[in-house]
Amino acid sequence: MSAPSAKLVVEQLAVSDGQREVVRDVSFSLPERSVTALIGPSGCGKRTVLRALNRMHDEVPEARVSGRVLLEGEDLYAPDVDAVEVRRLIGMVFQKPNPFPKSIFENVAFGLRVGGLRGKAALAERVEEALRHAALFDEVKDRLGHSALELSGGQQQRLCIARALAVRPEVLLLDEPTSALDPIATEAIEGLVGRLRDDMTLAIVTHSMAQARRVADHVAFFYLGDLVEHGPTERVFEHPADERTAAYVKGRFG
Amino acid sequence: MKRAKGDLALLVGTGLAMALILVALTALFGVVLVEGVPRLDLAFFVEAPDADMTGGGIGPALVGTALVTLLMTVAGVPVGVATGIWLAEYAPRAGAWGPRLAAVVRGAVANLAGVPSIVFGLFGLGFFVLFVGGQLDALLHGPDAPPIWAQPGLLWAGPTLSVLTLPVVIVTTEEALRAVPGPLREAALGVGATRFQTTFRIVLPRAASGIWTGVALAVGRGAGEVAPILFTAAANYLPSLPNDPRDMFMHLGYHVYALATQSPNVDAARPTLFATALVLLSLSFALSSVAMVLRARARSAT
Repeated sequence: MSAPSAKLVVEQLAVSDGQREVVRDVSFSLPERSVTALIGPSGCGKRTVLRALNRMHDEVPEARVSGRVLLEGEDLYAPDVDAVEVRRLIGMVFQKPNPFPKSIFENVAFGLRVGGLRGKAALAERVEEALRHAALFDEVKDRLGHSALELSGGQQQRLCIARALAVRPEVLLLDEPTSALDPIATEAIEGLVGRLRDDMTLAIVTHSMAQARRVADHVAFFYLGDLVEHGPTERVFEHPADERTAAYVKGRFG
Repeated sequence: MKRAKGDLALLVGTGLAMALILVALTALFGVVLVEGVPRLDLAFFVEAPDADMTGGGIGPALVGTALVTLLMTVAGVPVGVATGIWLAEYAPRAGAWGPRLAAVVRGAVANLAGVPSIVFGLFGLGFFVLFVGGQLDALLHGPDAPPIWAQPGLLWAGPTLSVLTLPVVIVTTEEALRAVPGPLREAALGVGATRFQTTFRIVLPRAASGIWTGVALAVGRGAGEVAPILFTAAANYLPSLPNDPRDMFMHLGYHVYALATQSPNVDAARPTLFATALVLLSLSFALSSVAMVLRARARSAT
């Protein structure tokens, strides 16, 4: 079995919040067309790492990021790279569903509009494509003009995924996307993640070991700001190389 | 069950305070209503005052108040809203000096809010009328020409009032923007919106009713202020309407003052005085009611 090519490579990433280093010396990669789960106890830095991958830390004035993040070989933190462009290529879905207080259609169309796409037909086509991709179209096709806030929590989160997918990113980052959802909605999102893997690269932060096992091909375990272990899901869960990983995946802490 | 003594004392104390407020308000309105209403008719709103200020109406003062309030709003609100946007959305992310500069601006705004309104009047006279107007005169008509721009007038009263209303607009704009949840900004940024797009397409619409509340409060405050226009435009008696932005004008608030102190026959002017005060009060009330409705809408939206 040949190793899949790496879509995103993280090299010696360190992030500081202005006072202390939250994560240090993190190096790993996201293999193309696969799901990588970032796991670890609260405060381990997994979310900080995820947000470094599409330069969301740029919005936090005190945050300092060092190291390199390479998307197909190009450093996203190079001085001439625009964070806005990075986020078009690397989309993000957040912990709590955060639809805009606009219609369902306008939520999905937002990224297209700010990206300069004009024309009713073109927008409608891309919105439908994204909604279908997020397995939401059939549920909302008769009320695209209704407020997104009328949807259930699970539908809102799928709408947020559709909104991220509409701009056709190459990588999708999911920050605990199901932590605010019930089990049925969670199942729908997990199934969706499994299908999205066929044509994009995904990274998911999760607190749930069971979820990591269900959706992820690879797992990266973080502890106290360090990347402790990184490898195929099966191997990390069944034969952890580090005793801290072993303790965590067996549920002894965290 | 016996009510505790302290509880009873508190109840009586707060009850008395409330009763005092009610009595004061009723007395104020009662007098103004009783004395003012009989004087009100359609002509009162349209006609110019008589020369001895006992008869006629308040037409020119109503128009003057509306004009100067409009000018004040146009001159001040955009600057105030823009400052609020900068403070809330841009300064915190503008590198190391951004937050420091923002702290200085906030301090300046807080001080501005505490400046007595008569000082704004003097500032308006010194800065807008004499300095800006004087420069215009020198530029357009040579250094020794008689003052044409450097005279009190509508054009200078509007900006003077707008400086007074700036703090309200700035503070409410900043607060309204801060109340917009961070995840909405992240969602917009996350699909590749620029900060400008995020601010204008997502954050501002969400904060709109909060911002309008501030605008309504500021306009309500500015419309009733007299001191800032004392030296910059208000006319004691000027039955003709202004037909040039450099003209002086009559103003409701100033008219109340003029009726109360400058009338040759104060007793005869009394009904007119109270009717004018009633119109001024109603205007202020209308504007603060608008602000209250907007604020309620802003609350229910979040």
